[in-house]
Amino acid sequence: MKREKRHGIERELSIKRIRSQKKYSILIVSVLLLTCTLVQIGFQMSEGLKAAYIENRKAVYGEWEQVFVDMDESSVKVAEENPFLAQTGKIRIYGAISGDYLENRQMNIGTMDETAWKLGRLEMKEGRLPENEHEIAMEYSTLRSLGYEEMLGKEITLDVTSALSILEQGESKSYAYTLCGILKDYQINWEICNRHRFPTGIVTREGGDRIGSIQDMHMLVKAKEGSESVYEDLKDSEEFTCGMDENVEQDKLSDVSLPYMDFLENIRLLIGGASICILFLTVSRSIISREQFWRFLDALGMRRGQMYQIIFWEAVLFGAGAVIVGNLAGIGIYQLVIPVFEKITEQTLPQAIAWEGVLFGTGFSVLCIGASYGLSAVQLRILLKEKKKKVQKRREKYRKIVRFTPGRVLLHKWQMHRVRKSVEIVLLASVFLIVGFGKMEISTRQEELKVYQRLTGNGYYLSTMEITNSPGISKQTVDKLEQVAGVTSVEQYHNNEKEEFWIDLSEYAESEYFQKVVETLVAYLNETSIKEKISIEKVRLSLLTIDRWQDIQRFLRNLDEGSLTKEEFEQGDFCILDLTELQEYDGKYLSAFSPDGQGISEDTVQVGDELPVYTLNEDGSRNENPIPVTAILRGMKEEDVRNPQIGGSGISMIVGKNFWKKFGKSRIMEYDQIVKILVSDDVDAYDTEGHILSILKQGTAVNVQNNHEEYKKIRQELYSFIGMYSIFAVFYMILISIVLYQMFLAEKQEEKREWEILQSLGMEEKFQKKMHRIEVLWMMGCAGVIGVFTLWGACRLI
Amino acid sequence: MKTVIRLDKVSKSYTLGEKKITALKEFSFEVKSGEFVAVMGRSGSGKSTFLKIAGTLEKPDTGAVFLNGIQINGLSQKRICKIRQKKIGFIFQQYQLLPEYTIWDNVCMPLYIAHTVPDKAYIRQLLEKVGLWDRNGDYPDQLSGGEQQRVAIARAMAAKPGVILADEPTGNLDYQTGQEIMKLICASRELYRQTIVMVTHDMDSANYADRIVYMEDGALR
Repeated sequence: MKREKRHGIERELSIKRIRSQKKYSILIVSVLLLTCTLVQIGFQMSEGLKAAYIENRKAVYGEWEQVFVDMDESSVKVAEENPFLAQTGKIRIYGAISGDYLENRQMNIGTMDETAWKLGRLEMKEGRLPENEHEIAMEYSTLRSLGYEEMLGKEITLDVTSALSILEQGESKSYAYTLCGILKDYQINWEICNRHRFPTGIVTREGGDRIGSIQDMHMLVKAKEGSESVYEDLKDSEEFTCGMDENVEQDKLSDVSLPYMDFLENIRLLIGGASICILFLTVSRSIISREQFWRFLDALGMRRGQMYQIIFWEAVLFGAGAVIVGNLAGIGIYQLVIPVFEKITEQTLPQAIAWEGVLFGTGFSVLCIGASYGLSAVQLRILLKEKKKKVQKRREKYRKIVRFTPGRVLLHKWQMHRVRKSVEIVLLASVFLIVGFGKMEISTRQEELKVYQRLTGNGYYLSTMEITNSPGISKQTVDKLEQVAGVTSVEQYHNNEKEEFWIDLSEYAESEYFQKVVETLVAYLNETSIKEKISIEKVRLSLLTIDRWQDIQRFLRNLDEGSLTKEEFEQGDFCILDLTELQEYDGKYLSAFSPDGQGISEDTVQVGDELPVYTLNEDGSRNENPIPVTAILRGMKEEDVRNPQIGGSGISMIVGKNFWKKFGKSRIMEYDQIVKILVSDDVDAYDTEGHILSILKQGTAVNVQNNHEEYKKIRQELYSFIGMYSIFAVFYMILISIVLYQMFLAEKQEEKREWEILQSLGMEEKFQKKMHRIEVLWMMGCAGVIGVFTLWGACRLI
Repeated sequence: MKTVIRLDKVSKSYTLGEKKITALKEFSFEVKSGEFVAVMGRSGSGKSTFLKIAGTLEKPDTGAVFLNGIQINGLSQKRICKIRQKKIGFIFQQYQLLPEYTIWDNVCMPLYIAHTVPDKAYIRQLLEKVGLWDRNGDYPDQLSGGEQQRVAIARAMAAKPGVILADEPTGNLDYQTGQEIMKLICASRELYRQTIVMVTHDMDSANYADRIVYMEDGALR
């Protein structure tokens, strides 16, 4: 009789088993489903927020990818003829409003073609773009600082010079334009190109010709899809001689970037890693636990290939559903979370699904499930071949029973199933790790926030910027700021940011304090070449120059040695050396706010000692001056340690105005100014800010940092971090709970027969319960220890 | 002769899905000291339930169970376990050896559980009697069915219990091995003056007993 061959028996066996083992199937599917959901949330979160971030960036900076600056004719030709550039928008600068360098902003007058306008995503606040040579559209903040508010449709007069360089003195001429439009502020954000490359007043080509010839030309460009490498080619090209700046680079300087992008990337990595482990564990456990079933099939003559087919069908049946439903759930949850997230962070985020995330998430889920089942099939092969030998070996190793107590029996069990137990402990430890990491991060940030709030107080910081080239904030301006209603104090300082002063401490080479200072300086530097330059003979000096007697008071209050009279201060020849006690923070030695006698202190330097301070000339020779120490500061009270503070890593000095003269330096161009304004708590912050801005526009303008706003921003970041972390942690814990529950359930089933035998031999039920209690305690203990150590290690690494 | 085991109007039923199955129906039975009783009957007649209740592994729904004159179905779990450790030895059809422990440890297990230091000479004697002294370091899955059952007999004797309850001890063995096992059980009974209650389907095994009783629908026939 010819036997009919039956196909698809493996699939049927898989389906029947899934149907009959409902509880088991539900567990497996839940793990797969939750893992897929978690993976998709991870990808949606990072890809979605990345997309949101890019959108936000585009809204602020525009869609251009590169800007070509200071172009000459040949560079324009090369750019225009390049077949890989999809969009090129030209910007022509005809002149600058004269005297505006005092405003920390060069106000250029020029034209922007339609492509540049679109790529820059410029928007009109009111009115329209100019249509004839007598019309001009201007940026809002420029108009405000020129005192031209409420002038739309009216004639304004601008003194324009063709000298674009701040240092050049060009002739200026008055031009009358009708203000046809007011642009929303954009220049302030376009940091990378020193702002002044872009026009703040936009005229027509003819309007520009009224001023004169084109002084400067820039181009905003975007490459064709997939042709981003064109920028590298252009950079290398000899014909292309202009400068190039990348839009993406601006992120570093802006505050529009979404918080914790790095954290999101790490979370995605963590989710990926955890998913692979969890899936592999679950699947491999489910397959290995069916050892009897496989052996039985083996005994009945089933080929390995057929067994793999059963596994394959199980993977398809479980996996397909889990991938589809899980990923959809992930997208859904993310979409639900976004509005909450927006509310917390007060940022507009795109609601759209991140399709890249969907694609990657789904792909990753499929890959993980497939790989897990594949690896489990390999495990099965090994199991059917070799398990007996392995078990035998392990038994030989752990054969001796010393005492039959719950602890001993448990130890024996752990020795026999050490891989499984280790995995369970690691999974538990990962929960400790996740919770601990979150808790630590949140507490640290909360602490930082508290310190920030306490140390900064309610007020503002005005600071000149590196790119300013401005003479800064005058004493007169500071005096005016003191008159603003609600202002309680105004302090002014100068930091040496651009001019490098060095100190030779070889005379104090034995001092542990100075050694630690050098160590810390080196530890903070990333570049090896710079690290190599730092030594005890060559330590960078941080200077704080103070011009006004009242601004130095809080330092004088804390002097430990020496004193400074008003006369000495006025002469400007003093030097207060900051030798605040150092304390160790993660291997680095930083100044402690208030000494408690626990840190490293320095007392070999005395008042009257002369310290060898020098600057380096271009030929490498030293321009050295011995600076006598007028007084020494060894610590500050917390209420006095408010930014700007001297200290940190390095040697710091508070010096008078004549310090610079000794070295033949003009500090006008070489320092950064900081003005700290504190206001009373009951004052209307925005009103005060209005007053401060109105004073600044008449004199010198700078970046205005509102402490209250900064505090709000940091707090929002903290909330968004907590939000994101909670979502991740809750999902992770649900997933781990299911995986562990499943593993424990399988173990219990395995042990059931063993316990029945032991009970028939007279074992009390409480022995078993006690053993389980001990097991839980041991596991939690081990997991806790591993979790804490890993956390500690991870934190050290980070 | 003194009554060692007494079941007085014991009833026991199980629920299987929505169906209620009565395993024992007001079942009363006595076993005298030193007696060897074989309990026979068809599958589902309640033999194994009777053995489990007599061995304190299960509690009756109603009725009373006495062991050496003490009613055990009202005792605490701790005392029941003590009785099981010291007074009763079990032999099962499936041998019920612990695969992760050696033959020696399996035999000593009742003593370990009772926190008693095994009398090594006695355990050796037991293993020699069942012919497995030279295999004492092996594991159960390295032994044949008959050998495993012999280990189970040695284990049942380890705590020197007065009562041995055997649930089809030859059920999984061939005739020859079954006979050997029965001879071993009888020899042990002679040596330690034990009371034996054996549930079996096999008439050849039952013939070793002093008394054979038949069960049907949870009661004696």
